[in-house]
Amino acid sequence: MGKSFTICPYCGCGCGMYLELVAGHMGVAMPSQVQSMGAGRLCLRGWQAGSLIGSAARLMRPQIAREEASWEEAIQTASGGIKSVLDRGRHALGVLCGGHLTNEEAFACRLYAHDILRTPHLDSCARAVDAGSIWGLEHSLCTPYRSPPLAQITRSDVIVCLNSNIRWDAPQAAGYVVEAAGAGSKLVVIDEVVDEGLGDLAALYILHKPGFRGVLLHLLVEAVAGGRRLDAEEQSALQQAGVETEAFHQLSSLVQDAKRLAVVFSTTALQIPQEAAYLAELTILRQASGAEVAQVFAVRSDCNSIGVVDMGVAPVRNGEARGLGAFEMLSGNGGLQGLIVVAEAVEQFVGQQQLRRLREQLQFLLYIGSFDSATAELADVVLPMAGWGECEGSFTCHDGSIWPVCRVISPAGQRRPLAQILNDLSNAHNGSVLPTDTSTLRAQISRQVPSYRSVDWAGLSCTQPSATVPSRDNDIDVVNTVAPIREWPDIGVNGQRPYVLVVRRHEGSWAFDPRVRAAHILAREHTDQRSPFVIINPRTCQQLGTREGHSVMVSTAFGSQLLPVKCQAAVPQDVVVLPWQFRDVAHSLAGRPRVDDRTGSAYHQPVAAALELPG
Amino acid sequence: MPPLATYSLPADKLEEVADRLLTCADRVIGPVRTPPGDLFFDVVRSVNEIELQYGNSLLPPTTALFPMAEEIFSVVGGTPPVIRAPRSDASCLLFGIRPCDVAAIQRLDHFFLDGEFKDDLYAARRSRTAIVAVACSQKADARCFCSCCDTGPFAKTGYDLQLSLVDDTYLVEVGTEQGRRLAQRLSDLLGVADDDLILERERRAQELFTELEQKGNMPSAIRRITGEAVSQAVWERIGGRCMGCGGCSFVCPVCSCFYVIDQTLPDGTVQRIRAQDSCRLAGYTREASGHNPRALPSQRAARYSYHKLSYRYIEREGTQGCVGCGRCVTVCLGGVHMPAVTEMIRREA
Ligand code: SF4
Ligand code: SF4
Ligand code: SF4
Repeated sequence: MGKSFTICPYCGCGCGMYLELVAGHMGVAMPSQVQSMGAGRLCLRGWQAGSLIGSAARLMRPQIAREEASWEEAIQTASGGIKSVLDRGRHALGVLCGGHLTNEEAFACRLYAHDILRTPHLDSCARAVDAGSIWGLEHSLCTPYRSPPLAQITRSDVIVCLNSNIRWDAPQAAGYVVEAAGAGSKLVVIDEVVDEGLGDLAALYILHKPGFRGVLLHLLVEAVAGGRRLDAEEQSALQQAGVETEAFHQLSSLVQDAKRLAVVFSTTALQIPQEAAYLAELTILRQASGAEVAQVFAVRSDCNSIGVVDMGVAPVRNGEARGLGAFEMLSGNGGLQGLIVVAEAVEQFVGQQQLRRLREQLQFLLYIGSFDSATAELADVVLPMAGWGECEGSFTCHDGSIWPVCRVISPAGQRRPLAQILNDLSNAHNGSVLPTDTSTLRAQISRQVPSYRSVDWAGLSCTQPSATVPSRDNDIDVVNTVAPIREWPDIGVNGQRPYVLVVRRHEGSWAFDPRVRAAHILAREHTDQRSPFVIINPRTCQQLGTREGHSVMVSTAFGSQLLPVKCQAAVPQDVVVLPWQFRDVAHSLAGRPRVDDRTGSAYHQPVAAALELPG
Repeated sequence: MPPLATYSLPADKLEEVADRLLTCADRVIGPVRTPPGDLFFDVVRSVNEIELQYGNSLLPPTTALFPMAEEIFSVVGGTPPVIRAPRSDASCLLFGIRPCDVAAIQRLDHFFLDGEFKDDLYAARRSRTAIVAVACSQKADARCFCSCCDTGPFAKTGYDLQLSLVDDTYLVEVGTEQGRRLAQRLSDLLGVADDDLILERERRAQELFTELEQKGNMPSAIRRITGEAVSQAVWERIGGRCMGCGGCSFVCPVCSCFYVIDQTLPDGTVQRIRAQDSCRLAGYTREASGHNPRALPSQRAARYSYHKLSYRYIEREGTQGCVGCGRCVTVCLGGVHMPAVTEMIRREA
């Protein structure tokens, strides 16, 4: 049969699917019903994953300064560039990897970064995005965190879902939430906007003011822990959070009465560790007071977010060697002179302007990847690597199960498998040899990654994951020390700036993912998600005297920008939503993102804004 | 339409029938299970691969006629460039498809073959395809509802051969001359179908029909959609719940949306591809100017339902656009599949 079992290369839900080659060059993806993640559903990205194969937007040949070159020249030039950076010390070079690398590829990157280049600066944007909530969860649960299988969401009687944009960032998790709500589970949605989709199913929709989620969760933990009503100070905090007392009491009763509680969110939505810590506390409280089960389902941002970190792609933090996190590397403040980017279009995370600024600071930029991107455009050397469907490997999914990733076609053009490219670079660097074949890499993973020691790689088949890998060793040094939120946020809303601008994940969040741009239908679906706009309430639009598609001047303490509006009733009248993918606009209107020291995650706080008609 | 002929077949001979049929066409497509356990209609090489205990597949067998993606032609560079069209004369036999899917093929035939334009790719495949249906002797799947669409539990037309299990015997019905030729290949296995067998199959089918869910949702939805009586609020609810995955179209055996794209291969060959598309996606109707007549999910949800259930289309296409296979129930991320939609519409009345 021409159908090979594999895992979707996009989000952290890790849906099982089949990939089949048609007409020699075109892939078709179909959902699997039997794999634990999926239940026969896929989101649009999953359904269209097959068109990554055959897409003309792939990188096919090595490039030097955007000119096509031979592999030999490109490797020599890359190696020369790397050496000249390393002459300034090993701290001058960083390696940044995509969260959709397979375990084998990620491990090869770690070998290359640590053993050959000896740099402590190794990370993935996926880890940094996940880090805020995962850190919070782990410090509350006092144990390394793995999500239970998403299918278990359907067993809950009460589901608390944070941020309705889980529908776009972790669609399969949302699918399970919808399935459960349809079958009678009580759904509570907590968000700063009112999503029609989940709203239609929710038993309770808690709409809070942007920036006040932490306050709300703090109050909820207090209420559930003490089984009590709020005191006067807490009441006033609740009021500031914009939540009605009655709704809050309904919320705390639902949580208190839950027999099987599920808390569901996507890590992309919760970047503040404290908020995730509160959610974990809720489950601990319920578990300790009579619930049969209370679980957190935190879906990570990338398909192999977990495996990539398990393989050691994370900044080295021991003693004097303090590796930079992904966003520190990209901020340009870490003193890097050279950067190697593997399979990640970093403009998605920092925007084009920051990328160009960073490029000016770097002496050398090497891009190894499968698709063209702004990062590739700015690189000194581009090395085309085999992509999803062209290489076999494995992903470690959200619940720690390892699944095979199939190869249905040989690498197109002159693309080479990543391990081979890294070996060529090592060879050119100092004559070292790195493993290039999957079985050697796997044997080495088993030896060097303790939690993967017992993985039966040979038995890794699409029928069964060969192992559910325990999470990494418990390296959590601080227990339960996440500081509670004591101060209520002051967004600074006033008569002059009466609106709150929130930078938020949205259905077009991955519009700048080069894989999305390369896949025909996906590219088509996102054409209107690539030029900046803001979303406001239709009433606000009317009050301003403007119309959908027309522009308004959005001003904050950081700057002003003229932006077209889209109208959605889901957005409260005093809120302005800036879709997450417009990073440059986010920086100009909401300032530089706040980088969390402990985790390296970066996020924008809501800011007060004014809306005016132009001129 | 009454069958051209009827026979009986001992149930334990089914495997032998399948084995014989394997030699009756260049390609036999039948129910096959992947190692993880998913069922697909796929090319069968040996009879052992055929899964005889199955409900229905998530991807419809109609992909044998209207594939998820296919090459229309390719242009190979050079002077002058050469145009290559992948035409195959291979015959195909669809084995074991369910009555709802037989009905879906009739509707696809109408769409691709009976209009002003005939689709060459579909026509070429269809003319060389024989259909051996296996009727449902029990509900194929918890989610299907052929009884509401008048497409099962056995097919009344549209098959070449149809097998219906009655205890330890199959009633074999011959629907076409092509079916008669296939029956001849099986003649030594076939016996006379007496009236009792035919009546018993009828009785069982009737029993199953009553057992299957018989909500009045479908007729009520057809009536209300045709009369434009469904409120905007209902379409907005449905549109709001839809996550735009397109899955409902990709698994629907009746859906026929497609897009055409040219892709350049590494060797410079340009391949023109046709792939299945979905009217649930915003880009499907976005015009070159950027204007989109169905920009909102609610508009697309309404359009999808109109095309499937409005009497205007039923009149034009001959049948309604849903055969009750239940596949959309499985794939829909937002829980707004056909039965949910018809229920929402009925409730509003
Ligand atoms: S939900 Fe995530 S893993 Fe599943 S198909 Fe969509 S992008 Fe892929
Ligand atoms: S609309 Fe749904 S139930 Fe009806 S034929 Fe299509 S997939 Fe089957
Ligand atoms: S399957 Fe459901 S969610 Fe997906 S496009 Fe169809 S209606 Fe929308």
